[in-house]
Amino acid sequence: MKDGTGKLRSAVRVVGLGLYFAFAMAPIVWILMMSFKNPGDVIATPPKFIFSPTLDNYKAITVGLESYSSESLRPDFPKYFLNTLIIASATVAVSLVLGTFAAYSLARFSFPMKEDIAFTFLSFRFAPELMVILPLYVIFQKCHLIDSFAGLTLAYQLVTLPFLIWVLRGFFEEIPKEIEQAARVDGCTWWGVFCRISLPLVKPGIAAVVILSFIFAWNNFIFAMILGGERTQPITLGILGFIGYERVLWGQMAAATIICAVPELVLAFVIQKYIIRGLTFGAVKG
Amino acid sequence: MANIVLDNVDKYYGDLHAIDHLQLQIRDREFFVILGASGAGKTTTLKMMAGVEPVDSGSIFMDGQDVTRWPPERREVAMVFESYALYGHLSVYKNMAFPLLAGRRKRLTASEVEQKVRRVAQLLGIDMLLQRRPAELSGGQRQRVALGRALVREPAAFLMDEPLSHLDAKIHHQMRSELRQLRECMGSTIVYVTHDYGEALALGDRIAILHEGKIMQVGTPGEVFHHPATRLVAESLGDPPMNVLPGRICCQDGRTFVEIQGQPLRVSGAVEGPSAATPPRQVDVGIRAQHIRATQAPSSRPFHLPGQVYVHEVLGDEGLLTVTVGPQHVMVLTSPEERFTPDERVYLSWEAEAMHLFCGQTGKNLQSHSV
Repeated sequence: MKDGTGKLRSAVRVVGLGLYFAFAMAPIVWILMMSFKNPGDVIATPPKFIFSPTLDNYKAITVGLESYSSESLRPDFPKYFLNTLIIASATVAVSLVLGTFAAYSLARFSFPMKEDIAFTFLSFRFAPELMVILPLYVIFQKCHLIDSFAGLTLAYQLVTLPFLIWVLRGFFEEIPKEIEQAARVDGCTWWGVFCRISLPLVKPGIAAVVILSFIFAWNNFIFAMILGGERTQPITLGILGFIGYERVLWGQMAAATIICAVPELVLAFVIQKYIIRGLTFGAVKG
Repeated sequence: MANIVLDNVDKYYGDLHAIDHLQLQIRDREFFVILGASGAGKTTTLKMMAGVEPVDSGSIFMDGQDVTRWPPERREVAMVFESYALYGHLSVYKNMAFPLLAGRRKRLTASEVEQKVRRVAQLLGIDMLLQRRPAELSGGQRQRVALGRALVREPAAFLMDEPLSHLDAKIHHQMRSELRQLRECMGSTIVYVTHDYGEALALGDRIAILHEGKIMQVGTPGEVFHHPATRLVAESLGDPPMNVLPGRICCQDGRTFVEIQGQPLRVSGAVEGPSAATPPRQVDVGIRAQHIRATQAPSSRPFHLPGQVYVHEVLGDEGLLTVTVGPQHVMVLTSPEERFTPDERVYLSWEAEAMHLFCGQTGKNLQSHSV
């Protein structure tokens, strides 16, 4: 009897998870298929599941293809891709350096208004980006930061920095104080403890926030649209370029989207083992 | 090689007066034990000596130097934390080598470090665990690593916070004798915190009993055990804990008697306070379980306290008899051969010398001992 309900429960679970998996994967599979279709197959109704795949879309956006219009002979996509890579990497690097120190201070030191400062950081996350974009635009214009990599990296801090600070603060707080005290007694200065004990202990946390911050920065649209320009345009905006006046290049758009997702996937795979170790972090505490 | 002096040290946690005007003088090369229940402020005291917990007022001196404001890395002390505080991202070997390589200390060559670590690891029986991570060790093994991390150094003082508390009985006894051995050859001052009175009596040259942030008594194991300064000290030493019975102290014909449940017992030695002029006053009579004799028949002695057997437990080579006397229980150690049945009437008696008299209000020991 008990066995029966157990089996039923696990069957329900499997079916439920299967449905969710299908729901979550369907758009991705659809885009993937689209990226291998020629224009006719993309807009065919009813949708085609069996078709002869082509690499034309990928060729068009990377090296250019004769058969399309002349502009795709010198595709912009690689440039957008590079722009995004530069902006996202710089954003994460800056956030990581600033955020690690900020998070450690908020976790370990006591100073006036500590919680207010921490909350202010958090509040950047729930203020809609559209609300700050206009004043930011005016400031950036005055400072000649519009359409510059430095400017966008700065603006993106609004997205990544608060997140990084709050997550890492939690990780730093997890470290038992006595471990740091032990290191002090063992002869380390405050700085030595931070570099040799605290930082290595939060490595799993750092891995997790790096990948998530990178994804946030990679996917950002609104800041790049308003504060960016021709020189710094990232993929998120570049993809919009496939919607032209006379036609929509669905196939190329799909191919661009797929290529777009690759760096995020690679990063996730590389850092995955740290994230899993992050989950078992508690076992280290003695 | 250091003496440590705590002069009028105070520590507050919010409103809680955790350490209250603490005065301690720890001599050079002394094995000094701080004994107290949890929450008494033992760990805080130790951490203040190490410098990882700031002092609110008062001063700490080491070898005559005021180190109160010194950062921990400048004080030449090693500390064993009760929570082990091992570095989870480093192997056992690296954990133990850490203090030798960290900071501004004298640089050692890699082979010197290895030699020191291996020697201590062998001593503690953890030499086969050196490549493991702390997460892969049992509680007892972790505790030995924590101990090892302190022992690799040659500090002026070792501060040990319950270093044996998580070891099982067999290793516990083994480590206890190891520690005693170590103390002979190390020549360092050791400050050792424990809640286990047996450990305190076995290891300490001197013992300080701490209660709610205040020192109750400082003395050799013999002094604190046989001549406790207060009722609290008496109760924290010994298992089963000392029996405390309410009594009245009075004077008759120049002799001092204590009256327990109407039965007078002559007090040996001088007692503070009472004289023929003062009215009888309330005292607490402390008597250890091993000093009480329980008999089925009233003895011929003038003093015997009647009671009823509550339970008699035979624990291997001794028996523990619980007797109901009036409203309370009295514990008596018996030989395992003696047989008592519940509700049986018994008579308790003891020698006047084995008795401690404490003031009913302050808990202070009323007998003056020539120590």
